[in-house]
This record gives sequence, C-alpha cells and structure tokens, in this order.
Amino acid sequence: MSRDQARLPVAVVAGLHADARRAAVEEILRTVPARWRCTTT
Amino acid sequence: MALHHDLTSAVDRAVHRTVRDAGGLLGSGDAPLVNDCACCALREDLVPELLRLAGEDRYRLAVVELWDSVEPQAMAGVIAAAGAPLALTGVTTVIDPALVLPYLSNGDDLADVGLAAAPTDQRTVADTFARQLEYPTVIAVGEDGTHGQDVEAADDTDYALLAQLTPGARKVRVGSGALGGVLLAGFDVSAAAARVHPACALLPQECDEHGVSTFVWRRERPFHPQRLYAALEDLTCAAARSRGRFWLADRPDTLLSWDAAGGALCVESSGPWLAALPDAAWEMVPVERRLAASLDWHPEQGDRCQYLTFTSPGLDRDGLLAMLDSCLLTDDEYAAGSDCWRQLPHAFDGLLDPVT
Repeated sequence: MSRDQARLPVAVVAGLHADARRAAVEEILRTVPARWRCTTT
Repeated sequence: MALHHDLTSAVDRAVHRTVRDAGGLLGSGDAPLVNDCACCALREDLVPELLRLAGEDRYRLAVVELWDSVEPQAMAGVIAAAGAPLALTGVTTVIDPALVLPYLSNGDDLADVGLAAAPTDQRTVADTFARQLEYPTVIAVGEDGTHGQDVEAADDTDYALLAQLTPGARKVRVGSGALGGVLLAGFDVSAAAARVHPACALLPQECDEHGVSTFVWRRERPFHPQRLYAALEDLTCAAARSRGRFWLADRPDTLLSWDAAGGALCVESSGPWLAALPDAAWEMVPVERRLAASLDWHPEQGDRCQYLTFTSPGLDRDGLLAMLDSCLLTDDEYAAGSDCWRQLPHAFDGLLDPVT
C-alpha cells in the first residue's frame, strides 16, 4: 500500500441490548466527524 | 457512518443492509442467505460493502453495528483478515447495566426468542451474551433507563458483576461523548483471541464486592471423571457465570474448556495440553499460550491444571470449594499413576469424543 493511500478505520459495535446499542451508535455518529482523511504512515 | 445488517428478516431468505450517518439513511440493500445462514451472509457481504465505502474516501470511521446475537469475535476476525484499506481500530459491546444479570441468567435458546442467526443455531441468550461481554477491550455502558419500565435501575450489584466479568476491559459511558475516540485507538485481534482462548484466557480475579463474588479455584491433580460428572449440575447452577480449563484423569492429554452461563454448561476439548505435544509442535502454538503455560509449569504435569472461576451474586464459596475438591483424585488414586487413571470409567464419553 502506498504511503498516501487512504484507509478506513472500522469499529465493531455489538450487543444483545438493542436499545442501548443503537443509542451508542448514534452517539458515535454524532461525535465522530464524517469527513476526515486518514492516511497510512 | 454506520453499517448494519438486520438479521430479523433472515427467515425470508435475505439479510437487510443499511448504511446511515448522523443525518439519516444513506443507502440500503439485501444480501442473500448463504448456506441458510444469516451470519454467513453477513460475512460474505460485510467486507465488499466496507471496501466500497472506503473507496468513497469520505468517512473518518465505519461503525459496523452487529445485529443482536452476532458475536464480535468472528466479525472482528473477518475485518482484520481483509487488511488494507480496512483497519480494525476498535471493538466494543454495549450493555445496559440493569440487564447484565437477567441476560446472564437466561438459559433460553436464541431460536425461542427470535434471535437465532441460522436454523441450526443452538446458542442460548446467556452464553451468547457472555461471549459478547468477554471479548472486547471496551465495554460501552448504556445510560440507565433505556431498558423500559419493567426492569429495575442498575445498582452497585449490577456494576460489581460487570466489573468482575470483564477484567481489563475499559468501561466507557454512553453519553460521555468519548466512545468514538476510544474506538479509533486500535485493536489487536491476535491478543484478543488469546484473552478468551481456554488455554490462556484472562479470567476473573478473586473478588467480593457489593454482594458479588468471584471464586478462583486452582489445583494440580486431575478430576475423577465419575465424581465430576455427578457434580456437573450443581456446579453449573452454583454461579451466574463460570469459565476455565480442566483435566480428567482418564484423558490426561486433553485440555478441556468449561463454559457455563444461564444454567447451561458447555464442555469441549480444546486440543492437547502443551505437555502432551512433542517439542517441535510448540512452534505452532501462539506465544501467549506458551507464556501462560510457562508461568505455572508443574515439574510432573506440565501445563495440565484445574483453573476454574465462578462469578455470581450470593456465591457459596465454601460449598463450591468442598464440592470441587471432592471431585479430584484421592491421594491413593493419584499415587496409582496415569496408566491406572486411563482405566477409570469414561463418564464424559456422552459429552466429548469417546476415549479410544
């Protein structure tokens, strides 16, 4: 992979408690900016 | 952006995929079942969809929101194996603190509560929840009160149970705003797998707090198979959760895993003990396991050991101690040696592959 090839960080969110899980995902979506370029170093 | 595969429609032979961000739905589609298995469909669809989203080069973080009964370890492995441009940076299980004990005590089959991922899915609510809880490095603790009015609010007992079951996992409050940043910190799938592997798992430590106890039982000599078999039901029901590794006198080369939750016990072979392997085979064993074995190496038995942990509110430590010790070989039986041990009745042949 070239030094400036973009990568996509991925986080797995699990949980049998569906309401709590959805609330957590909504918070992550609100607090992590959508547009941001991450490159390998 | 969050990618979610809804498996509730799997009975209609498809898995429904949605992609959304904070502003709402970005796209949706269906993935066909693979081998009649919704989890297999998820595995097949997940990486291509993530690669497509990576190609858009506009997202700081892809959140893979797993459906209710999907376990994080398998999906973390799929994503990590895909490699660049995907980078697995975090794994969390979100819990409602008031529901930890009710779920851990729920022995219902997933199929009976509409949460099975395949027609052949034999998991229970309790054992699935336990594995979801014990794998991640981050536990997201939901805001109390999201569970409805029919469940009491979480108290110190619930938080003590959570803390004892998840040693080493960072607890992050949902609502604190910190979860997104924590999930960008990085995740090592090999280390995570070692933490839950029966041979070297990071097990709970001795503790007694707010009415919740963890009892750690470690011994060197093997179990008498018949005496342990007769005690299985009592041992399984003695705690909300018990885990660990053990060995039986009639199959001394086999590392057996103990995995109990919700009143159900799963005993499985996890392969040979290191002491039963030729030296040349050790190179193929993960370094975490070799390290764990070396710390407690016994001059005669090697890494063979009894190492079980029991965690529960209202735990009867003395009763457990007496029951477990009574299942070990007696001094005379132990002194008879391994050739005699192998002739003991094979009481676990109904649960494990028969001794040959």
